[in-house]
Amino acid sequence: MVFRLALRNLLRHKIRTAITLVAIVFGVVLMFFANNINHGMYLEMIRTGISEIAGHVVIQGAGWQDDNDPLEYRVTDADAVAAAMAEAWPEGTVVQRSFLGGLITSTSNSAGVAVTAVQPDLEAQVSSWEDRIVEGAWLEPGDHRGIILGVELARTLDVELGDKVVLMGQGREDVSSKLFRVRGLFKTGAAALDGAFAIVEISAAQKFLEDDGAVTQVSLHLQDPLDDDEALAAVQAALPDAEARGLEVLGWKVAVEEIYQFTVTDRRTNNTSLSIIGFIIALGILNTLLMSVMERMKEFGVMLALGTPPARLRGLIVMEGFLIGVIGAAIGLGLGTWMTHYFVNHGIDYSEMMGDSMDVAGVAVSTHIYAAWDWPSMMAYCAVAILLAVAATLYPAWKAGRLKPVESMRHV
Amino acid sequence: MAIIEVRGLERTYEQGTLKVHALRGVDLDIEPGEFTVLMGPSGSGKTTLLNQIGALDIPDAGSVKVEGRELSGMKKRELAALRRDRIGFVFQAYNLIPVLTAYENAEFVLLMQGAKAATRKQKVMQTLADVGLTGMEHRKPKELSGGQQQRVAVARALAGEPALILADEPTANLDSKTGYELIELMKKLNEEKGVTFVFATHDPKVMEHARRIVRLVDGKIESDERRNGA
Repeated sequence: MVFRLALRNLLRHKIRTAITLVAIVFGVVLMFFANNINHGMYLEMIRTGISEIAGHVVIQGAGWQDDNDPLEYRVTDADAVAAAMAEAWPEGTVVQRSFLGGLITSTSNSAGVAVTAVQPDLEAQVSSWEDRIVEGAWLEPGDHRGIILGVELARTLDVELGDKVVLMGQGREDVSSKLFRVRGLFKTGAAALDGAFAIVEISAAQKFLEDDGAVTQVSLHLQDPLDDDEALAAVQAALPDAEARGLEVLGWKVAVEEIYQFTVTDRRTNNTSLSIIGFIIALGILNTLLMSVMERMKEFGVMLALGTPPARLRGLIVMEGFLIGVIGAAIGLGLGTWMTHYFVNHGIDYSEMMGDSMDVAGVAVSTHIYAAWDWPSMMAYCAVAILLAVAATLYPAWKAGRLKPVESMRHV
Repeated sequence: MAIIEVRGLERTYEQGTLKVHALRGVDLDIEPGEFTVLMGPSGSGKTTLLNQIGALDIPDAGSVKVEGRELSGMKKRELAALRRDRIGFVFQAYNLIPVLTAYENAEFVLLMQGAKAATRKQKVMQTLADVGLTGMEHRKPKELSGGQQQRVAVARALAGEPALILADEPTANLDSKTGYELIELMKKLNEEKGVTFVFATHDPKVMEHARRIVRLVDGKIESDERRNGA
């Protein structure tokens, strides 16, 4: 009876119920949209950060995280460490990288440059650098004379494919310099990367730093990112003497801490904004539900007079809130899922406003942002919508339960 | 034993700074199966007395016993159970639940009593037949005339098989023919089912049928007349 009465009461004022439903549905869909677009962006940032400057599990010289000095903090027996890592988690891909900096000079100009040294074949499996080549070709394994430049850096240096450039910087013993030929040009769309970044083969970096067999980082890239904790534990177990060897074994949350913390902070900020919007929508819902209950005080008085226990009357009113919340959340879930599905496949292109990419902590993140499914949050928003609708009925339910039948039946 | 025992009942309302003495020491016994009318002009205390007997209001002094149970001191929950199980109400403005059909309105008290579905169906169909509403079970209150709505209210009051039905100005919103028919109906139910009826009214038609007329003036019983053959 309570359910039947609640449902009929909702149908009594169809327009008002429809307005309340629209408010709930709009709120849920808005939350889905804002959250899932942001979630997609965060995942892209983390994915890019992990694939291009770290890995799901990273081994590097203890201290590198705080002071990026490639001469001070390094993995000296890189091949042995990489082999141990690969054995600990055979399903993953293990790559070696070095990060260095210096001055790059052409016949007509020079510029400061950040250089990543990679194993070309393995790097192509884990990151997008090869896909970003717009002119020339990706490096061949063992090509210690080849260099890939950002398009803006090439323009600054006034060099083309095949031209010579010289990289100068600090080697292990002395100032070092090395001649390279431009094999390719990449474009990310992020000015900081296109104008001051280059890629060379790992052996070239070892020659440049006069540090054979050493790299800055050995990283493990997983097929399934959800295996990260298990993989970290496996690698730590495989290298029990890492600390004694001056190494640290890190999970991706620490290895790309700057990006990870950015996503955590940004999510928190967005959730605060969404909570404020949700609160405003909740006030609207409260208003309409309150109106619908308050105008029926006479009816409630009659029900109490006929012997309805106050608790049952309260239950009826709360049931109305619950029903409208469930219906609104269900419609919102349907529409929000449909909308998320669209933006998961098509995304939103901000490139006209922001260029092709934005630089987040040294990685190029595309400005064509795709939504991503965030089911725990989506379910939480639906639950919040139902809870808010129920909460909106608590006060009138409490008030109705305290009515004196004689007084309330005098209501017109 | 009297089904209703009222002793020294007093009730005062405050209207702004004014105190209105609605009941001033009323004593009244009503026996089971009686068809009693509380008569009197507006403001004489009829409805207030009915509300006290029906456990809808709390007196300032005095006592009310229904079937020997003293109402003062009973908890809200106990009073609700008493109204649900032992007392039926018929109001002047019908007070049906607008979203429920005639059948569902009549079923309401039975649902509150926790009666089983088969019992509910049997009792509701019987009471709707008793009040002459067979075939109108699925109509909502707005699809019924005033007289039909009041018949649904009577069916609702009867369905729970109460010992006592309290009717406050049940004919006031009805034309004289419909009002007469309703009173005839309630008289018939009183005689056939032995249900005790107490009316608050100043409708002469109701008075014609009453076996007992209690006249109230200024919150006091002025006369208490028992009639034969009414």
